[in-house]
Amino acid sequence: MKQIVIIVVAIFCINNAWAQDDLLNMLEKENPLKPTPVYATFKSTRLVNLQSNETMKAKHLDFRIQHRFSSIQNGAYDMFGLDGAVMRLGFEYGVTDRFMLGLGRNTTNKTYDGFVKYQLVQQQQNGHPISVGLFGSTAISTLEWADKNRDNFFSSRLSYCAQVILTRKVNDYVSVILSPTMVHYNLVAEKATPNDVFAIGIGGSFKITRSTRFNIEYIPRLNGRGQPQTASGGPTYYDALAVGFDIETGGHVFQVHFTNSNGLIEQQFVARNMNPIAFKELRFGFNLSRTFSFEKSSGKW
Amino acid sequence: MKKSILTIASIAFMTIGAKAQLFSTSTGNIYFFSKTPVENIEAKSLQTLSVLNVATKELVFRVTNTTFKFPNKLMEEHFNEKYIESEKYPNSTFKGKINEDIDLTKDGDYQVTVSGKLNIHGVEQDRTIPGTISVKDGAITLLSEFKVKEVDHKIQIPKLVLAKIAEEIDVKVDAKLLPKK
Repeated sequence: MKQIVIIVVAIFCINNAWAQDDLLNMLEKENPLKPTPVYATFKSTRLVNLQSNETMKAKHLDFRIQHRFSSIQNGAYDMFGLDGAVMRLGFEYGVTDRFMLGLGRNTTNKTYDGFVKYQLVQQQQNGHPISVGLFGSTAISTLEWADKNRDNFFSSRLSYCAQVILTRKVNDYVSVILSPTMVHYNLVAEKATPNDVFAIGIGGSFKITRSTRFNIEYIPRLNGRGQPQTASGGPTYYDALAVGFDIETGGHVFQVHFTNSNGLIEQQFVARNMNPIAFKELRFGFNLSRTFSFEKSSGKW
Repeated sequence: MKKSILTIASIAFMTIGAKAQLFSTSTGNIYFFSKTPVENIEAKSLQTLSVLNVATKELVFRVTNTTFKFPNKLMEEHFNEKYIESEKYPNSTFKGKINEDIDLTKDGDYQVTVSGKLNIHGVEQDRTIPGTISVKDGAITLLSEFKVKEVDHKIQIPKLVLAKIAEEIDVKVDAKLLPKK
């Protein structure tokens, strides 16, 4: 008899202990949390050259310094390319958590660039399987006119890029990207040179440790690839390939990479890459990003 | 025989009674703060679940880690991705029991300690946490401040940011519980 009592009492006790867990679960069901977007599909707003789906968050400013050096083929004479650098300085700002603006200045062709990027769809935990981003940019070359006596139009300085950015964080270790891209130049060298260049950016990012990643990207052109762009045998444009590492230290992200292109904006590395994919065309580069937050603290401390 | 039936009956009543004496909230606040000479880090979640059983003095908290908001979104991302690993360990919980012999049906302010298990980052620690309980106008307000060491919960801080993240994190809890219908 006594045993039964003990058992019954025990059952009630267990029941009681569980009641609170049950209640927590009930509370959770009554107040469901919104599906949260997956975080850190990529470490930065760029994979290497390609735009990632990441945008700067609201009231966050990214100060960005990007360098691409010249090819390693001259060896120690020009320090494996370090003597010849092109660079871009950029300020990039999050207007909302999903919409960012960027301004930059490139040494190549003394080009200014401005872009917008919007996260149309965010991949969610237990929700949307992929993220969809939209990217658009305009670049203004400010080189002096080659022939000042000719009729020169301001519009000739402009070139554009439009891109759809499809990404998926497959798991904690792998993220992939696919970006159909179009670049348009208002002015091209000759009739044979296409104004519009179509390409597809393909890339992946692989986590090595919590603070480092390995990235690879390849941007095959769909038209005018590997062919001289003018009847007189003018420049030939090639696909851009890059491999690199992300190294993150708090507010900084260092991206170091090797690539065959020396452009820093889509107009250049997608549409005007004159270096074939070859070992001697390898060039070292880095992106340095520093983020500042202008969000106020809660003042609770 | 009679005695045991009585015992069972009384326990059954207690259980039913206990259910009627549950106070809860789904909008409790948890703040945490890390202070170092290099950098201050702070975050808050305003979506903490809590249940208090007035009869048994059992108290539970559960917070979904992704509800912590940081003024610096980069820190928020790092918190979720690198430190608390919220995909692997979505919740942090505390389950405990009030040690003091107090009557929570009566209005008043009570200094208490709560002993129980704190589970953060999938690692459980036995803790006794001090706090204040205020009973007023049918609501129970819980206030507490305590510290959590990352090491105790196997949260590793990379050497590169060691100077930026305090070894001990200050935590503040502030929740107003109402009778559960």
